[in-house]
Amino acid sequence: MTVFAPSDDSVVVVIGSGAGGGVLANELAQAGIDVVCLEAGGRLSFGDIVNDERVMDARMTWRDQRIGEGLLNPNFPAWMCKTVGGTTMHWTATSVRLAAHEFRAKTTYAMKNSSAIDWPLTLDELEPFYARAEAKMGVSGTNGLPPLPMNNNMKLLAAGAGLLGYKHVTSTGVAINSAAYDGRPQCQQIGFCKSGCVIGAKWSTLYTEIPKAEATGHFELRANSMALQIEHDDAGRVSAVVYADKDGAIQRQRARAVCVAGNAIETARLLLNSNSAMFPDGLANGAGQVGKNYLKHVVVGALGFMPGEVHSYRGAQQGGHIADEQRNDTRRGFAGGYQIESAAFSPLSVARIAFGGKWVPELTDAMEDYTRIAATFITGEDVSQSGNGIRLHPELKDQHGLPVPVVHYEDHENAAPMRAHASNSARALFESLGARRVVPFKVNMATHNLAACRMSADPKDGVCNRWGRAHEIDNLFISDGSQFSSSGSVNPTLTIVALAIRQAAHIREAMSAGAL
Amino acid sequence: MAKIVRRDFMLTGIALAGLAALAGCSGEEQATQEGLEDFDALAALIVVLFPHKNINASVYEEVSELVRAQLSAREDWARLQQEGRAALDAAAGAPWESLDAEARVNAAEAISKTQFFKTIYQAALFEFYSHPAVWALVGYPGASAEEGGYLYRGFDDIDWLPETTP
Repeated sequence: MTVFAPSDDSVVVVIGSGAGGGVLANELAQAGIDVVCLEAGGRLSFGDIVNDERVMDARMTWRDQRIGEGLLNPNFPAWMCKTVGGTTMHWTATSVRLAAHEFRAKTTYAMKNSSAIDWPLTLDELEPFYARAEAKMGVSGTNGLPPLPMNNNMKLLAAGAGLLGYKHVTSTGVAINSAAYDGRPQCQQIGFCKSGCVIGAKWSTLYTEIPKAEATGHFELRANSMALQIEHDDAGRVSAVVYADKDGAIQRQRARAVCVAGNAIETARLLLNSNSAMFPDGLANGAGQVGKNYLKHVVVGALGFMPGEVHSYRGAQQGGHIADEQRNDTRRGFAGGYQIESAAFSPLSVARIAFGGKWVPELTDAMEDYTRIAATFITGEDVSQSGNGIRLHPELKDQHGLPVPVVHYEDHENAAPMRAHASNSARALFESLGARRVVPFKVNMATHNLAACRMSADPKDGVCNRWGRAHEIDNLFISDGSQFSSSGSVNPTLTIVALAIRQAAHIREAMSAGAL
Repeated sequence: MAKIVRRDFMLTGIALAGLAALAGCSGEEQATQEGLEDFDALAALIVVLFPHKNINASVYEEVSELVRAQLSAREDWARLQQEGRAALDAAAGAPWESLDAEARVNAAEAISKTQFFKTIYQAALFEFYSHPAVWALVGYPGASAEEGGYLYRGFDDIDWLPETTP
């Protein structure tokens, strides 16, 4: 096992081991660049991953104190993971490319009351990296992999989509093995994707990128290591990362460059907590953009109480989607588009989310219809607002003595009409198949945390450039969904992975050229 | 609401009787340790919250114990119980357990905005719909990995959909 000295200032320190950090670290290590990866959570083995939502929730969920404001839960504003593999352990594996127009949010949507910008990069530029991401992850419908076989719930969505005249219905675009791939087995349609895949058929960095990086001899994973502060030298370049190890002892790893991939809330928080005399508002925050413009997707779910058995819990929890509404068509009454995705919920999840956790007399009847419930989960374009974001609490401190993050989120005026349209689409789909009842529900809990350290052409508009490299500090990188300029409508992981592969190539070239 | 209540009248009585015996000990312990009265009607309240027809009374008792275990870690648990007990009895105009099933629901509804009620509801929802007996009732088998998943056990066996061509 490779071990680097804390004083070794030739290593790149990557903070986070999920879709951004895990991939970036492995790509760098494969290129012979030495990497220390700091992960706040512990390392599970396959024996630790079980078909039990509550057990896995306790093993994987990030539970450190956070404050939610606006529409967010005051005590639990966002759901993410604190474990090696990060949120790739919990994700449902939908892996779809952003559409060309979604890279131009400002130009395409021209929204009022928005801080939207266009990405400083295009779909054409990202496409080769999307292809490499799909190959890495084993995305169904790419690289010779067939579409994921449709389970009952997805077959139902496809049938309804056919009746409604939708054309783009597919179970491609899922990073779950539709056939054995990359040493991992074919999906056995177990369900419980959100609790971690017990056989590794769903892509997660825990059992792909991390062990591959370790095999290079250029990578050291330090689990249970919570990054507390990034330090810099007199020239204003980052020089070390201070972290708390598994015993809570404070350690310092020197670094040639630092790449932050802590999932938007922790990434922004770490930069803000790294303030100094030279950077009084935090690192890379000269333009005041760190933590701003936070996006999380407009999300709607719906349950259809169907006339026949569905057993939607059987198989992949999100094994396909309908893409027809991804287009930008303002005749629908809103800007941007959304994806209609297959979904499955346990009885506890149905009880908690579908009825808002409220005491309603119809709950017991609805629950006794559990096996006839069909479900969909809809994610839509979120519109940037500078007031949505992450800041530090002025008094509250966490177990390490660091200010607790406060996450503020309000809907943009575009959200309500999009949500209404999406709910109507779900209703029409389920009713076309004879649903006796449709229950749409709003989801305010964030699992897609994006854009709070966004890339921008103009340094005044964001935190990093088109490579994720901080405008102000040339050896500091943003390496997770924080660097998104806008949300798009699709699940973000594939794009995070593509950006990480691209960023690794940039770092390698910059190092070769003596520019890093 | 009334429709749901009537069918569960018998069950409510059974659950309550069972609980009185079961919760007596923990109530005494609490009284000795902290000088406070335990809320011993928890299972009966959970029956009111989730009035499923074909659930054995013992399940409501088990869930009430799980809720109690979950909430006893809270610093304000003793105070919440006292306040909840008082609010329920006040809404009932008598000891809450002495009411018939429908009146119990009405009293519970009257206090449904209180912190006590919301706390109990969230904890009970979590424990109740995680309980194997409730899963069996609603037809959810739970873990499937040990059975090899559903690849060969009906993941795509839906047979009532119309033929459409998306």
